[in-house]
Amino acid sequence: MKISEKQQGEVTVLVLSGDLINVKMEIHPYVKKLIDEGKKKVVVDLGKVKWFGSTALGSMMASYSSLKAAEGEMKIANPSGKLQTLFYQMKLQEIFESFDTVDEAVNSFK
Amino acid sequence: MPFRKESLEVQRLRESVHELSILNEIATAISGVWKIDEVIDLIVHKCVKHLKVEQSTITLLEDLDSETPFQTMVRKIDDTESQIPYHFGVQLSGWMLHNKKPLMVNDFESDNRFKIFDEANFNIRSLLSVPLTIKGNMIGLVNLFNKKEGKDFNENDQRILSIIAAQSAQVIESARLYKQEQTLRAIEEDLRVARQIQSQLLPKKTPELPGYDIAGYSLSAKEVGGDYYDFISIDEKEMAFCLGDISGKGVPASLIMANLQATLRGQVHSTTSCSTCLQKSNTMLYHSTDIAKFATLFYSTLNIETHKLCYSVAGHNPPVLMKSDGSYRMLETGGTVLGFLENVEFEEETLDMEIGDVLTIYSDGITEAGDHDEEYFEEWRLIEVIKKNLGKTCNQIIEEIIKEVMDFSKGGDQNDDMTLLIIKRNK
Repeated sequence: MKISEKQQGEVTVLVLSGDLINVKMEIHPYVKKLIDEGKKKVVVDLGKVKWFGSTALGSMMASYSSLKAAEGEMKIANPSGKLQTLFYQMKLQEIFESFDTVDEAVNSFK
Repeated sequence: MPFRKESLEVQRLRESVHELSILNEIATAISGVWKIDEVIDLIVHKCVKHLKVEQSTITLLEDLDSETPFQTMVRKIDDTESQIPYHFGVQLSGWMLHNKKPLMVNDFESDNRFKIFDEANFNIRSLLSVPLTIKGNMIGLVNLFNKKEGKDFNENDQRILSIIAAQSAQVIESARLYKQEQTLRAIEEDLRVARQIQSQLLPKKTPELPGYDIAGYSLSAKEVGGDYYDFISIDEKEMAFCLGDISGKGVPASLIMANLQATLRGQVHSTTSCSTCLQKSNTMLYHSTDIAKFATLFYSTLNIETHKLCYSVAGHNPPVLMKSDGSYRMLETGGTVLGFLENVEFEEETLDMEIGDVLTIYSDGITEAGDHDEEYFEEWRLIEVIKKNLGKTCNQIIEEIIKEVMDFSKGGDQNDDMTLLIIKRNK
C-alpha cells in the first residue's frame, strides 16, 4: 500500500492507495509520526481505496484515536459507495466524519 | 650455518602454501556452520586476520521485488568501533550489481565513482570488493577496507578473496535458505496454535431448546481469521447467543477472542440488558487490547417461554430475520464496533419470535466471499438461499448456504472464516 502526503494550509491530506487487505499496516505509525511533527489536522483521501481489510480498518481507528488523544482530528474524504456501506454497517459513519471531496473535508476544519 | 637468501621460486612456493592453508582453514571453518550470522562472522574474521585489513564486511542482497529494488540484509562489521557509512554500502552494492566484477580501489579519495554522504568515523583509503554469486546470480558481496601498514591491495589479494567468495557463496546461500525455512515453520506453527485455540473456544455442541431448532457452524480460512460464536445459558428459560469477528488473524486474534468470550460470559450473569452487556464488554475490551484491535459482534438473549428476542449489534453484519412467508427484515439496532472507543452507548431492540421465524446470523466471510475486484456473494444471495430452504432444518439451511458460497467462489481460496448461527422457532 502507498501513502502520499500533501499539505493544504494547516491540514495534512493523506492519499491512500494500493492493497489494503493483506499487507502490513502502516497508516497508524505514519499518523503517529505526523502527530510528533505537530500535524494534527488530518484528512484521509480514500478515493483510490477499493476495500479495507480488518487490519487496515483497525489502523484507521487507531489513527483516529491517537489524533483525538493529541487534541487533533481525522476526517475522511471521497469514500466509494462500497466503503460508505461498510462504514454504515459498522456504525462508523457517525464517528469518522466523511466528505465527498478533499476540499470540503479540508474546509470543514476552519 | 650461513644465511642464504631464498630464491624467488621458493618464496613464491612459500606464499602459495600459506595461501592454501588460509583457504583451507576458511573452508573447514565454514563448512559445518548452519546459522547465517555465524557463517558471516567467521568469514569476516578470517579475512581480517589473514588478509591484513582494518575492516571487512559482507553484504547480502534480499530477494528482489517491485517495491524495494534491493535491500542489504546483513552488514557485519568486524574489528574497530567505526562503521562503514550506510549510504556507501548501498552505493557499493549498486555498483557491484551493475558491473558484476571485482572492484579494487587503492586511492579512495580521488575516485569519483563514490561519494560518501557522511564521513562517520571511518576513512576509506583502499577497498577491495568481490561479488558473491550462485549460479550466475549475485547474492551479495565481500568487502575489505584499508590494507594494513599503508599497503595497497594487489592482484594476489583479489585472487584470494575471489576464491574465498566462491567458497562462501554456497555456504551463505544454504544458511540463508535454512533461516527462511525456519521462519516459514514458525509461521505455520503460529497458525496451527491459532487454529487450536479457536476450535477450543467454539461451542462443542448446540444446546437443545424446547420448541426451537438451533445450529451453528464455522469454517476457518487457512490463515485463521477470528470468527467466534457462543451459546451462554442464563437460566432454564433464557439463553444468550452471539456471533462475532475479531480484527486481524492468527494467534493475536485468537487471544482476543478468548478475552471477549470470557468478558461476555462474565457480563451475562450480572445484567439481562443486551445494551448494558455490550457497553460494559466494550469498555473492558478497549482497556485490554491494542489500540488497533477491535471486534464486531451480534449479541442477543432469547426467552423460550415468552419467545421474546432482545438483541444489540456492535458494528456487525445485520442478521436476517425471515418469516415463514419469506418476508424478512435486517436487524440493525445497536452501536459501533467493540474495542474502538472507550465509552459507547448501545441501543437494543426486543421483538417476538413467531412460529416459523428463522433468524440467520453470519460473518462477513459469507457475504464477502468472492473477489473484491469482481463481485462478492452479498446479502441478497444469502437471503435468497434462506428463502429457498425455509422449510428445512437449521443444519440443512447452513449446508445449503455453505454450498452456494463455495459454488460462487468457484474453488478460489477462502479469504476469511465463514460462520453461521441459525435459530428457528418450530412450536
